[in-house]
Amino acid sequence: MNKSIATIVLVLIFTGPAFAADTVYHIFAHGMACRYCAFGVDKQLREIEGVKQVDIYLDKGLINVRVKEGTRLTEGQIKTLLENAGVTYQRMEHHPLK
Amino acid sequence: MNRMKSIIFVAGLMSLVSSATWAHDPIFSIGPHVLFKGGFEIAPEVRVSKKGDEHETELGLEATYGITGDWAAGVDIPYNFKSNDRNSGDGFGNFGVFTKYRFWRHDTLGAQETAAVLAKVFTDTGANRRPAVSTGTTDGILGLTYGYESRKWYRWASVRYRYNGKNDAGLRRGNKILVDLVGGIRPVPTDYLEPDTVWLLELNGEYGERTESRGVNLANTGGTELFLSPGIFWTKRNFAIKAGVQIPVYHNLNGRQKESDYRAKLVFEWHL
Repeated sequence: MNKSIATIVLVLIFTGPAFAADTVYHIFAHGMACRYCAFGVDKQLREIEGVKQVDIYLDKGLINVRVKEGTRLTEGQIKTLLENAGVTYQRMEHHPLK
Repeated sequence: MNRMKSIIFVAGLMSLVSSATWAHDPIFSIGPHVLFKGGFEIAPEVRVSKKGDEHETELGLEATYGITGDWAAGVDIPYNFKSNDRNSGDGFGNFGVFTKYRFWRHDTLGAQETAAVLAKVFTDTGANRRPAVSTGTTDGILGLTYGYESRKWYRWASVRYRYNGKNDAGLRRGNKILVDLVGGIRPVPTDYLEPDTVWLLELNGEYGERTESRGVNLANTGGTELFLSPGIFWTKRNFAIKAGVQIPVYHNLNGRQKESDYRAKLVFEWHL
Protein backbone atom coordinates (compact mmCIF):
# COMPACT_ATOMS: atom_id res chain seq x y z
CA MET A 1 0.00 0.00 0.00
CA ASN A 2 2.74 2.41 0.99
CA LYS A 3 4.64 1.57 -2.21
CA SER A 4 1.50 2.23 -4.29
CA ILE A 5 0.96 5.62 -2.65
CA ALA A 6 4.62 6.53 -3.12
CA THR A 7 4.45 5.52 -6.80
CA ILE A 8 1.35 7.62 -7.38
CA VAL A 9 2.96 10.62 -5.66
CA LEU A 10 6.13 10.30 -7.74
CA VAL A 11 4.14 10.05 -10.97
CA LEU A 12 2.17 13.18 -10.07
CA ILE A 13 5.33 15.11 -9.19
CA PHE A 14 7.08 14.33 -12.47
CA THR A 15 4.06 14.62 -14.77
CA GLY A 16 2.46 17.58 -13.01
CA PRO A 17 4.30 20.23 -15.13
CA ALA A 18 2.97 18.63 -18.32
CA PHE A 19 -0.57 19.51 -17.25
CA ALA A 20 0.39 23.12 -16.16
CA ALA A 21 0.90 24.36 -19.75
CA ASP A 22 0.97 27.94 -21.01
CA THR A 23 -1.23 28.76 -23.99
CA VAL A 24 -0.27 30.74 -27.06
CA TYR A 25 -2.87 32.84 -28.86
CA HIS A 26 -2.28 33.82 -32.50
CA ILE A 27 -4.25 36.99 -33.20
CA PHE A 28 -4.55 38.38 -36.73
CA ALA A 29 -5.26 42.08 -37.24
CA HIS A 30 -5.42 44.56 -40.09
CA GLY A 31 -4.21 48.17 -39.88
CA MET A 32 -0.90 47.65 -38.08
CA ALA A 33 1.26 49.66 -40.46
CA CYS A 34 3.71 51.02 -37.92
CA ARG A 35 5.12 50.42 -34.49
CA TYR A 36 3.04 53.27 -33.04
CA CYS A 37 -0.09 51.44 -34.16
CA ALA A 38 1.28 48.25 -32.62
CA PHE A 39 2.38 49.82 -29.33
CA GLY A 40 -1.21 50.44 -28.26
CA VAL A 41 -1.99 46.77 -28.89
CA ASP A 42 1.17 45.65 -27.09
CA LYS A 43 0.55 47.80 -24.02
CA GLN A 44 -3.09 46.84 -23.58
CA LEU A 45 -2.35 43.13 -23.94
CA ARG A 46 0.41 43.28 -21.34
CA GLU A 47 -2.03 44.86 -18.89
CA ILE A 48 -4.15 41.68 -18.92
CA GLU A 49 -3.58 39.50 -15.87
CA GLY A 50 -1.79 36.29 -16.89
CA VAL A 51 -0.18 37.57 -20.10
CA LYS A 52 3.49 36.58 -20.08
CA GLN A 53 4.75 37.59 -23.51
CA VAL A 54 3.61 39.57 -26.54
CA ASP A 55 5.32 39.36 -29.94
CA ILE A 56 4.16 41.44 -32.90
CA TYR A 57 4.91 40.82 -36.59
CA LEU A 58 3.85 43.86 -38.62
CA ASP A 59 4.28 42.34 -42.10
CA LYS A 60 2.04 39.40 -41.20
CA GLY A 61 -0.47 41.37 -39.12
CA LEU A 62 0.15 38.80 -36.39
CA ILE A 63 0.24 39.14 -32.62
CA ASN A 64 1.42 36.13 -30.61
CA VAL A 65 0.36 36.23 -26.97
CA ARG A 66 1.63 33.71 -24.42
CA VAL A 67 -0.52 33.39 -21.32
CA LYS A 68 -0.03 31.38 -18.18
CA GLU A 69 -2.14 28.40 -17.31
CA GLY A 70 -5.68 29.31 -16.42
CA THR A 71 -5.70 32.55 -18.38
CA ARG A 72 -8.22 32.73 -21.19
CA LEU A 73 -8.57 35.43 -23.86
CA THR A 74 -11.99 35.68 -25.47
CA GLU A 75 -12.78 36.86 -28.98
CA GLY A 76 -14.96 39.69 -27.69
CA GLN A 77 -12.23 40.89 -25.36
CA ILE A 78 -9.62 40.92 -28.13
CA LYS A 79 -11.95 42.62 -30.63
CA THR A 80 -12.57 45.45 -28.16
CA LEU A 81 -8.90 45.72 -27.27
CA LEU A 82 -7.85 46.00 -30.92
CA GLU A 83 -10.60 48.53 -31.64
CA ASN A 84 -9.38 50.63 -28.71
CA ALA A 85 -5.90 50.47 -30.20
CA GLY A 86 -7.16 51.65 -33.58
CA VAL A 87 -6.76 48.44 -35.62
CA THR A 88 -9.20 45.79 -36.87
CA TYR A 89 -9.59 42.24 -35.56
CA GLN A 90 -9.59 39.46 -38.17
CA ARG A 91 -9.43 36.12 -36.35
CA MET A 92 -7.61 34.24 -33.62
CA GLU A 93 -6.56 30.72 -32.74
CA HIS A 94 -4.85 29.22 -29.75
CA HIS A 95 -3.07 26.10 -28.60
CA PRO A 96 -1.36 24.92 -25.43
CA LEU A 97 2.41 24.99 -25.32
CA LYS A 98 3.96 21.64 -24.61
CA MET B 1 3.89 99.98 -36.06
CA ASN B 2 6.79 97.79 -34.83
CA ARG B 3 4.45 96.04 -32.38
CA MET B 4 1.98 95.47 -35.19
CA LYS B 5 4.71 93.93 -37.34
CA SER B 6 5.75 91.76 -34.41
CA ILE B 7 2.22 90.50 -33.93
CA ILE B 8 1.89 89.76 -37.64
CA PHE B 9 5.20 87.87 -37.59
CA VAL B 10 4.11 85.85 -34.57
CA ALA B 11 0.94 85.07 -36.47
CA GLY B 12 3.05 83.64 -39.26
CA LEU B 13 4.84 81.40 -36.81
CA MET B 14 1.55 80.40 -35.23
CA SER B 15 0.56 78.96 -38.62
CA LEU B 16 3.59 76.73 -38.27
CA VAL B 17 2.87 75.76 -34.69
CA SER B 18 -0.83 75.28 -35.24
CA SER B 19 -0.24 71.68 -36.24
CA ALA B 20 -0.22 69.45 -33.20
CA THR B 21 2.45 66.89 -34.05
CA TRP B 22 0.93 63.42 -33.69
CA ALA B 23 2.44 60.02 -33.99
CA HIS B 24 3.14 59.14 -37.61
CA ASP B 25 1.70 62.34 -39.01
CA PRO B 26 3.44 65.01 -41.09
CA ILE B 27 5.76 67.42 -39.40
CA PHE B 28 4.35 70.77 -40.61
CA SER B 29 0.81 69.78 -41.47
CA ILE B 30 -1.85 67.63 -39.82
CA GLY B 31 -2.65 63.96 -40.24
CA PRO B 32 -5.44 61.67 -39.07
CA HIS B 33 -3.57 59.69 -36.42
CA VAL B 34 -5.04 59.64 -32.92
CA LEU B 35 -3.96 57.69 -29.82
CA PHE B 36 -4.98 54.33 -28.41
CA LYS B 37 -7.64 54.54 -25.71
CA GLY B 38 -6.12 55.55 -22.39
CA GLY B 39 -2.79 56.42 -23.98
CA PHE B 40 -0.70 59.50 -23.31
CA GLU B 41 1.56 61.29 -25.73
CA ILE B 42 4.20 63.74 -24.49
CA ALA B 43 6.02 65.76 -27.14
CA PRO B 44 8.53 68.51 -26.40
CA GLU B 45 9.58 70.37 -29.54
CA VAL B 46 11.70 73.19 -30.88
CA ARG B 47 10.60 75.41 -33.77
CA VAL B 48 12.78 78.07 -35.40
CA SER B 49 11.99 80.54 -38.15
CA LYS B 50 13.64 83.41 -39.94
CA LYS B 51 12.02 86.20 -41.91
CA GLY B 52 14.35 89.00 -42.95
CA ASP B 53 15.90 90.35 -39.76
CA GLU B 54 13.33 88.65 -37.52
CA HIS B 55 14.25 85.42 -35.80
CA GLU B 56 12.03 83.33 -33.61
CA THR B 57 12.68 80.22 -31.59
CA GLU B 58 9.80 78.53 -29.88
CA LEU B 59 9.92 75.75 -27.34
CA GLY B 60 6.68 73.83 -27.14
CA LEU B 61 5.26 71.06 -25.02
CA GLU B 62 2.29 69.07 -26.25
CA ALA B 63 0.43 66.57 -24.13
CA THR B 64 -2.32 64.41 -25.60
CA TYR B 65 -4.71 61.81 -24.18
CA GLY B 66 -6.56 59.05 -26.03
CA ILE B 67 -10.20 59.34 -25.00
CA THR B 68 -11.25 56.46 -27.26
CA GLY B 69 -9.51 54.58 -30.04
CA ASP B 70 -10.78 57.27 -32.47
CA TRP B 71 -10.78 60.45 -30.37
CA ALA B 72 -7.99 62.31 -28.65
CA ALA B 73 -7.53 65.71 -27.00
CA GLY B 74 -4.62 67.69 -25.63
CA VAL B 75 -2.89 70.94 -24.76
CA ASP B 76 -0.05 72.88 -26.33
CA ILE B 77 2.16 75.15 -24.20
CA PRO B 78 4.61 77.36 -26.17
CA TYR B 79 7.47 79.53 -24.92
CA ASN B 80 8.89 82.00 -27.45
CA PHE B 81 12.25 83.70 -27.90
CA LYS B 82 12.03 86.55 -30.38
CA SER B 83 14.64 88.94 -31.76
CA ASN B 84 15.09 91.47 -34.54
CA ASP B 85 17.60 94.22 -35.35
CA ARG B 86 16.28 96.46 -32.56
CA ASN B 87 15.45 94.27 -29.58
CA SER B 88 14.78 90.80 -28.25
CA GLY B 89 12.50 89.19 -25.68
CA ASP B 90 10.91 85.98 -24.51
CA GLY B 91 7.78 84.73 -22.79
CA PHE B 92 4.89 82.29 -22.92
CA GLY B 93 2.92 82.27 -26.13
CA ASN B 94 -0.80 81.56 -26.44
CA PHE B 95 -1.77 78.25 -24.84
CA GLY B 96 -3.61 75.91 -27.18
CA VAL B 97 -6.32 73.32 -26.54
CA PHE B 98 -7.09 70.83 -29.31
CA THR B 99 -9.06 67.75 -30.16
CA LYS B 100 -9.09 65.32 -33.08
CA TYR B 101 -11.74 62.81 -34.08
CA ARG B 102 -11.09 60.03 -36.59
CA PHE B 103 -14.41 59.44 -38.29
CA TRP B 104 -13.37 56.94 -40.99
CA ARG B 105 -10.90 54.08 -41.11
CA HIS B 106 -10.20 51.32 -43.62
CA ASP B 107 -7.71 48.68 -42.51
CA THR B 108 -5.98 46.07 -44.64
CA LEU B 109 -2.99 43.82 -44.01
CA GLY B 110 -0.13 46.12 -43.01
CA ALA B 111 -1.94 49.29 -44.10
CA GLN B 112 -4.42 51.82 -42.81
CA GLU B 113 -6.38 54.57 -44.56
CA THR B 114 -8.10 57.13 -42.36
CA ALA B 115 -9.75 60.55 -42.20
CA ALA B 116 -10.18 62.88 -39.23
CA VAL B 117 -11.36 66.34 -38.21
CA LEU B 118 -9.41 68.58 -35.91
CA ALA B 119 -10.28 71.67 -33.87
CA LYS B 120 -7.91 73.89 -31.92
CA VAL B 121 -8.34 77.06 -29.88
CA PHE B 122 -5.44 79.38 -29.04
CA THR B 123 -6.29 81.18 -25.83
CA ASP B 124 -5.33 84.77 -25.08
CA THR B 125 -2.96 83.75 -22.31
CA GLY B 126 0.42 84.71 -23.73
CA ALA B 127 2.86 87.14 -22.19
CA ASN B 128 2.71 90.81 -23.19
CA ARG B 129 6.24 91.64 -24.33
CA ARG B 130 8.13 93.72 -26.86
CA PRO B 131 8.87 92.30 -29.37
CA ALA B 132 5.56 90.43 -29.20
CA VAL B 133 5.80 86.75 -28.25
CA SER B 134 2.04 86.21 -28.38
CA THR B 135 -0.84 87.61 -30.42
CA GLY B 136 -3.06 89.03 -27.66
CA THR B 137 -6.06 87.32 -29.25
CA THR B 138 -8.14 84.17 -29.08
CA ASP B 139 -7.95 82.27 -32.37
CA GLY B 140 -9.32 79.01 -33.72
CA ILE B 141 -8.45 76.37 -36.28
CA LEU B 142 -10.63 73.78 -38.00
CA GLY B 143 -8.99 71.05 -40.05
CA LEU B 144 -9.85 68.07 -42.22
CA THR B 145 -7.22 65.46 -42.99
CA TYR B 146 -6.79 62.19 -44.88
CA GLY B 147 -3.92 59.73 -44.56
CA TYR B 148 -2.71 56.42 -45.98
CA GLU B 149 -0.03 54.50 -44.14
CA SER B 150 1.47 51.19 -45.18
CA ARG B 151 4.62 49.20 -44.55
CA LYS B 152 6.36 51.11 -47.36
CA TRP B 153 4.38 54.15 -48.60
CA TYR B 154 2.71 57.09 -46.92
CA ARG B 155 0.48 59.87 -48.23
CA TRP B 156 -1.51 62.64 -46.60
CA ALA B 157 -3.71 65.55 -47.66
CA SER B 158 -5.14 68.19 -45.38
CA VAL B 159 -6.85 71.55 -45.30
CA ARG B 160 -7.07 73.94 -42.35
CA TYR B 161 -8.91 77.19 -41.79
CA ARG B 162 -7.62 79.55 -39.16
CA TYR B 163 -9.85 82.27 -37.74
CA ASN B 164 -7.96 85.07 -35.98
CA GLY B 165 -9.54 87.20 -33.28
CA LYS B 166 -9.14 90.93 -32.63
CA ASN B 167 -6.77 92.25 -29.99
CA ASP B 168 -7.35 95.12 -27.54
CA ALA B 169 -5.91 97.63 -29.99
CA GLY B 170 -8.47 96.69 -32.65
CA LEU B 171 -5.96 94.76 -34.76
CA ARG B 172 -7.21 91.56 -36.41
CA ARG B 173 -4.79 89.45 -38.39
CA GLY B 174 -6.14 88.05 -41.63
CA ASN B 175 -7.68 84.60 -41.52
CA LYS B 176 -5.67 81.86 -43.17
CA ILE B 177 -6.24 78.79 -45.30
CA LEU B 178 -3.54 76.12 -45.24
CA VAL B 179 -3.46 73.25 -47.72
CA ASP B 180 -0.94 70.43 -47.54
CA LEU B 181 0.09 67.42 -49.60
CA VAL B 182 2.62 64.93 -48.26
CA GLY B 183 4.34 61.79 -49.48
CA GLY B 184 6.55 59.45 -47.51
CA ILE B 185 8.52 56.26 -47.87
CA ARG B 186 9.91 53.65 -45.49
CA PRO B 187 12.86 52.39 -47.56
CA VAL B 188 13.56 49.40 -45.31
CA PRO B 189 10.53 47.83 -43.58
CA THR B 190 11.60 46.76 -40.11
CA ASP B 191 9.70 44.83 -37.48
CA TYR B 192 8.08 46.00 -34.29
CA LEU B 193 11.04 46.21 -31.90
CA GLU B 194 13.55 47.40 -34.50
CA PRO B 195 14.36 51.08 -35.15
CA ASP B 196 12.45 52.47 -38.09
CA THR B 197 13.05 55.38 -40.50
CA VAL B 198 10.52 57.12 -42.73
CA TRP B 199 11.39 59.97 -45.12
CA LEU B 200 8.80 62.62 -45.93
CA LEU B 201 8.33 65.42 -48.43
CA GLU B 202 5.61 67.99 -47.77
CA LEU B 203 4.16 70.71 -49.99
CA ASN B 204 2.66 73.32 -47.66
CA GLY B 205 0.55 76.16 -49.01
CA GLU B 206 -0.61 79.16 -46.97
CA TYR B 207 -3.04 81.85 -48.07
CA GLY B 208 -3.64 84.73 -45.67
CA GLU B 209 -6.23 87.51 -45.89
CA ARG B 210 -5.16 91.05 -45.16
CA THR B 211 -4.83 92.21 -41.57
CA GLU B 212 -7.41 94.74 -40.37
CA SER B 213 -6.77 97.62 -38.04
CA ARG B 214 -9.96 99.17 -36.67
CA GLY B 215 -11.84 97.94 -39.74
CA VAL B 216 -9.29 99.14 -42.31
CA ASN B 217 -7.34 96.58 -44.37
CA LEU B 218 -3.58 97.03 -44.14
CA ALA B 219 -1.87 97.04 -47.54
CA ASN B 220 1.36 95.27 -46.66
CA THR B 221 -0.24 92.16 -45.20
CA GLY B 222 -1.63 88.85 -46.40
CA GLY B 223 -0.79 86.84 -49.49
CA THR B 224 0.37 83.39 -50.45
CA GLU B 225 3.44 81.33 -49.66
CA LEU B 226 4.35 77.82 -50.73
CA PHE B 227 6.93 75.65 -48.99
CA LEU B 228 8.70 72.44 -49.90
CA SER B 229 9.50 70.59 -46.69
CA PRO B 230 11.70 67.50 -46.42
CA GLY B 231 11.52 65.64 -43.14
CA ILE B 232 12.29 62.42 -41.30
CA PHE B 233 10.71 60.19 -38.64
CA TRP B 234 12.90 57.88 -36.61
CA THR B 235 10.92 55.57 -34.36
CA LYS B 236 11.68 52.80 -31.87
CA ARG B 237 8.66 51.12 -30.37
CA ASN B 238 6.99 53.98 -28.43
CA PHE B 239 9.54 56.76 -28.97
CA ALA B 240 10.00 58.94 -32.03
CA ILE B 241 12.19 61.77 -33.22
CA LYS B 242 10.82 63.92 -36.02
CA ALA B 243 12.60 66.71 -37.84
CA GLY B 244 11.99 68.82 -40.90
CA VAL B 245 12.67 72.11 -42.61
CA GLN B 246 10.29 74.31 -44.64
CA ILE B 247 11.96 75.89 -47.66
CA PRO B 248 9.94 78.65 -49.37
CA VAL B 249 9.55 77.99 -53.11
CA TYR B 250 6.90 80.58 -54.02
CA HIS B 251 5.82 83.96 -52.61
CA ASN B 252 2.98 86.22 -53.66
CA LEU B 253 2.70 88.57 -50.72
CA ASN B 254 0.70 91.79 -50.80
CA GLY B 255 2.60 95.08 -50.85
CA ARG B 256 6.02 95.20 -49.23
CA GLN B 257 6.61 92.37 -46.79
CA LYS B 258 9.48 90.25 -45.62
CA GLU B 259 9.39 86.82 -47.17
CA SER B 260 9.99 83.69 -45.09
CA ASP B 261 13.59 82.48 -45.27
CA TYR B 262 13.05 79.13 -43.64
CA ARG B 263 11.29 77.34 -40.80
CA ALA B 264 12.45 74.22 -39.00
CA LYS B 265 11.06 71.85 -36.39
CA LEU B 266 12.46 69.11 -34.14
CA VAL B 267 10.15 66.94 -32.03
CA PHE B 268 10.73 64.22 -29.44
CA GLU B 269 7.67 62.10 -28.82
CA TRP B 270 6.77 59.40 -26.32
CA HIS B 271 3.68 57.24 -26.20
CA LEU B 272 2.91 55.96 -22.70
